[in-house]
Amino acid sequence: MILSIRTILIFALLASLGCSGGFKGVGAAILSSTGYVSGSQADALMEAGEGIYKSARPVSAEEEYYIGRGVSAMLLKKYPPSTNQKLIRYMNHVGTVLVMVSDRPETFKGYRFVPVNSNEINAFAAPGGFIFVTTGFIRLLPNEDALAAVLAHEIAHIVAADGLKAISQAHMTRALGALGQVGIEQAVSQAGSPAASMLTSAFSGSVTDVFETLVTNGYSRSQEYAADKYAVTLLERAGYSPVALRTVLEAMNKHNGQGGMFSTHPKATDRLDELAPATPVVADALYAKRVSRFSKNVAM
Amino acid sequence: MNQTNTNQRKKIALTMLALWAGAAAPAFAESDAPASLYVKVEEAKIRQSPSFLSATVASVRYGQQLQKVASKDAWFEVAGPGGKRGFLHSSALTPKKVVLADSKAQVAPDATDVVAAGKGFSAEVEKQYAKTQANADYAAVNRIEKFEAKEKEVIAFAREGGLLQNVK
Repeated sequence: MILSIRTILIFALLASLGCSGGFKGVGAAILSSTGYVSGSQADALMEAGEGIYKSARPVSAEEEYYIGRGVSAMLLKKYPPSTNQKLIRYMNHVGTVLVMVSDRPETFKGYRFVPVNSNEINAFAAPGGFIFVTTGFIRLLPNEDALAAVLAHEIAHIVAADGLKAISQAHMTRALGALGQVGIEQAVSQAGSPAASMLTSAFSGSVTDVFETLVTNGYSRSQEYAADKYAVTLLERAGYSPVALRTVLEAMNKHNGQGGMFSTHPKATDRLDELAPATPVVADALYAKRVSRFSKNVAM
Repeated sequence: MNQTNTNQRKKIALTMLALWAGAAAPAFAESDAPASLYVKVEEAKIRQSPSFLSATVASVRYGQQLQKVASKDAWFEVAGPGGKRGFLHSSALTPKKVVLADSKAQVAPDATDVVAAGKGFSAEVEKQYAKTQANADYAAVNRIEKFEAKEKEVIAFAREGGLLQNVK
């Protein structure tokens, strides 16, 4: 009897880790591997992906994309995109390698990695896969593995759908109400109708909720720690040095800046404390190659 | 005393189980998984083997219905258009039927078993919203979307840097 209660507790704990940590996909994979549940990882991942964001109404990958475009439009107004083609290509190569080993490689229109011109130390992930890093932050990074760590942390927020979780239920309920008023097939075709205006206002509110969270309020500490943890997993899977995130956090700590990421994220020292202890990693054979191509592509 | 503790533990365990059942009810068992899967992203590639490094067999688009054949790790083996078989990553797929925008089918706004393409927060809503937004730069969003990493280049980049070596 005791054993069965313990089994239930372990089961419940694993499930709650999957939910609260934000990585239900990973949680589901753990569940599958414990032997408590049968079934394939693909089924578990797909089902978990469907349920990772719970709200007053279901949000499709397509809608997530349009919310992401709205958030990106606001971000790019504040942080104009860099036109440095070499840097854009390089960042997208590093980012795509990490996406390929993530639990959510496919979003509605794919991921985009965007350097933005600002001296602030900051990085953002808008729903759907739009990832932004300021040139000020890139300048602080010593090498490619460190850049990969920053991108991996942002990919983690996309995998966990943290952006969508910032949307107030009131805005989702308003959208649901608007759609219910005239029937979903007519809601948007009647531009200017009360229901269409209500839907547009719910959209505007949702976009603002995410933007404010990214730029001003920040995610919860637990969301940030979970994203750090998952970032290390992605670095390992891709073949980057798993201590690279530690390198980034140490650089941030040394920089001791104000505003930007320093006001929206837990202190770098707290994040370092939360990370699993660093195990010394022997640089792999091509580490030097990555260091040299970083300096070639990131010259600003 | 021990009995009380055990009872309390039982109670907590059952409460947690109930909470868990509510939050993570989707079945993980293969037998419960639907035989039909739908593409939930704009475009995805069916691959020869379950890996992004493998060759493309066919391209599929949003809403397309595929038959599930088997699964391997995070990938589904599917039968696509013209009976072409191959692999798709599970994140591109949904068990929910996708009702395309031009369909006359009625979809309830809170329906959880279907995806209504082009409805809700859509391109049309964005158009209305963008008209009134002075704080949004959609032209810049369109510009950044144009850059898409080329698959071949990414694979070469990974190889050059000693990355993805554990990925087949």
